[in-house]
Amino acid sequence: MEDPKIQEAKETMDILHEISTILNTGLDRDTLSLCLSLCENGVNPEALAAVIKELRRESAKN
Amino acid sequence: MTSLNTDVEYERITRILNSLVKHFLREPTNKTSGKDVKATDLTLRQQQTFDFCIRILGRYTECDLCPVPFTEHIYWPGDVFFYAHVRFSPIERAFAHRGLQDLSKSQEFERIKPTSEELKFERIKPTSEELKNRFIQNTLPIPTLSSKSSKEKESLPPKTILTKQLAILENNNEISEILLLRDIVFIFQGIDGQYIKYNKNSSYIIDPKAEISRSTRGILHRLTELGRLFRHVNDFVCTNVNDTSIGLVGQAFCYALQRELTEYYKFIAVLEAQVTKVTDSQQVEHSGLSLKRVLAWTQESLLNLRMMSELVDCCKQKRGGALVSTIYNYTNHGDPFIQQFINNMLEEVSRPFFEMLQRWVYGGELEDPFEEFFVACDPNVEEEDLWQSKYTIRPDMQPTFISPLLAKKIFAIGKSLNFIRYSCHDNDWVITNAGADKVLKYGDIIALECSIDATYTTTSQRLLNILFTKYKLKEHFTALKRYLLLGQGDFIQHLMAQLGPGLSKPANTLYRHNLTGTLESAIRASNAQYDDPDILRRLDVRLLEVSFGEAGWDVFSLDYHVDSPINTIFTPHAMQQYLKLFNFLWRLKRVEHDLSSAWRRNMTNARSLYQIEELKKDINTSRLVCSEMIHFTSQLQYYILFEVIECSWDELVKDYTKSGDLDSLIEAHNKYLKNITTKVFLDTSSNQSYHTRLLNIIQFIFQYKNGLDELHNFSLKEILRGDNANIERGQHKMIQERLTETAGLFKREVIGLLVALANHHDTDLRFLSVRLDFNEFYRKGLINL
Repeated sequence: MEDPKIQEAKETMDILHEISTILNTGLDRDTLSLCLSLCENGVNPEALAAVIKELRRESAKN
Repeated sequence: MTSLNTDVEYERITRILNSLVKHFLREPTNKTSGKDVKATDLTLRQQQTFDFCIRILGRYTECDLCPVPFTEHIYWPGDVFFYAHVRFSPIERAFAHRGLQDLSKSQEFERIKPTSEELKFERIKPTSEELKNRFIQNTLPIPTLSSKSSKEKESLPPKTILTKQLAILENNNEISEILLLRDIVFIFQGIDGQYIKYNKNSSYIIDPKAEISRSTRGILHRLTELGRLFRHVNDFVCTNVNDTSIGLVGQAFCYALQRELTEYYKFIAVLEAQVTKVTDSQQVEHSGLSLKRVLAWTQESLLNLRMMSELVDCCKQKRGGALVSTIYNYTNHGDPFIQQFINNMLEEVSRPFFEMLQRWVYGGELEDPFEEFFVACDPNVEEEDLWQSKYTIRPDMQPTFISPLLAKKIFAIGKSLNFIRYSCHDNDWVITNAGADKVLKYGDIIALECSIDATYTTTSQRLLNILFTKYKLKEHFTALKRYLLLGQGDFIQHLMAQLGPGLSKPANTLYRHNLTGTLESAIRASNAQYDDPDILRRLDVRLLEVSFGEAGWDVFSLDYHVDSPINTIFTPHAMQQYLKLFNFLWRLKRVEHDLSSAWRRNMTNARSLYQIEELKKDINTSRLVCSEMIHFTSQLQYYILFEVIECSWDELVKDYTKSGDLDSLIEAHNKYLKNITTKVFLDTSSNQSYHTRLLNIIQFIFQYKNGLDELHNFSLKEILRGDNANIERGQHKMIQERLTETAGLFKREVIGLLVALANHHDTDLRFLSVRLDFNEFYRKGLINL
């Protein structure tokens, strides 16, 4: 019961990562999965995008 | 359960955001271990960033700039996340893509009495007050570092915004996708939904008060197209399915539409089952259903319905063949899907049409209660005119895939069958020949053409065969030529001799039974007696309308009785032509006859006439004029009988032996008659002047002949008187003058005719003029004129 679900999730993740690479988002796998789980929990994706941008800027300041 | 969920949700969000921040701003933290990472675990800088991010998230939910929910896009590829998404309460999803409403406004609404919708929600969820309180309580035990800073104090703490947001969402009852889905399923069936209603202007209006995001509205609008089209098609079907006036083809069209709609209903049933499953079930493993997914699923049905609606629009006013044509126009569409659809539709729709066609082609029956076939029948037309006017083609009902030539053939087949059946009384052949086993249907036009061609050939051949054998058409042609066009010389000669004295009397003293008796004897005395009795039986005498002062010659005419079915070829009009020809020829013949009798008299009495010296010269001149006239009439007769009638006859024989059907036979016969009448100057239009000239000439010949008779009588009287030296000069002079005058008129008229003929465009007629004036006798007269 659990196994195929995980398998499926992984597959989805792979696809998403591929999409994100193609779109040149610059997100690695971990970040992507974090973003995903945020979205999954119902965060507005545009807001999330803004957050990511903000975080990038912040880290660049560093 | 929901509230618990929300809390957990919030916890999760903060936790994940935490790790996200940490991920980006990599700084060594004090405690890296531990599952639940608290906000306190962050460094100051991280904490600030975190707070800032939370605020961004919070602000976005209240800002108007992002109406588009991205979540569905993100979840689209993978079903796992999608299930999770659907499973969650509306509030959570709203958290993600809400943001249209004004915060302050919503707060005002909280004070207002809950609406009925809110009350409905209350049954499922705790009241909004409770929720709000709970959120506020939740905020309290989590202290944030940033909240202490003066900067942060100016704005609301992030957590508070979030919770507020959640509370607002709860109050405003975002319409859940499931409800919308249920609505949409109703719309698909043409029934009004809760939020989406049908408008009178044939469009669907989504309740403007309903809380639906703009993008969802867009999707809903796209989905409602299906409902609108369905309504359109269904209305058409419903109004027409029991309406017989639409015709058989129209009914077939309705039926085909209904069949397609049944397919559509099946699809809707499946969809509805899915929707109920989603609404009812609590389990995780059900197929995900969203408006977008429904939109994707309905594409095919949408295309089908669009085409059907289009067809309904253009076929509304059409019936029968025209309807089939209209649908056929769409078969040339480049899209194979549409082509297939239209072809299937057409096969269905054209079925009654082909049934009619089949019955018409193989049985000659026209079963067309709604006047949809391209052949129309006029029931008032008598059997006599069956071929000519009973059936007509309706060009607007002729489907475009049947070419005009093919249509003509089809028309001729059915007509021939009817002709064979009703006029030729050969019912058996029609029945045995009926190709009931052959089924015509739409699809293979070439095969259709082939079978039509084959049937056409056999039917036409059969018809001609019947006419030529059973009804002796050929014999009739010959008989008409022989008797009415004076082909049978001995018969005519005999008739003329027998009738001559009788016809000279005034017309009103003639009796038909006397004349028929003479006719009988003329037949018996000539070669005509060996002719077919059936043909001789048809031969009759006819007296034209008698007017005062006419001699028997003027009203006498031979007649030939034609009955069904050959009167299809020998139409009344054709028979009239024959009579006209006969009259003219008869007159010519009579002139010839009279002239020859005058000549004979002249010759036999020559010796005695010469006894009177003074008359010698007159007699001589009269002989010259007489021979001139005889020459003229015999040349004219030769021309008419040989060059005109025989040549045309030859053409007719050639034509009818190779003619394929009755129509071409009729045409050949009409051509034959027209040819003759034109060349004999009997057609009314162009040759009127020639005809009157000829009649004048004939008139003058008669006058001259009468004058000649008088001269003879006078001479004989003088001879009998015995006083050869002393004749009655006054009377003699009078006769002499008359003869000279008539001869002069005759000559002038002949010259006039020759001049006219010499310039005629027809070479045959020019030859006639040469023949009449072979030794340029008249040419001299022409110069003298």
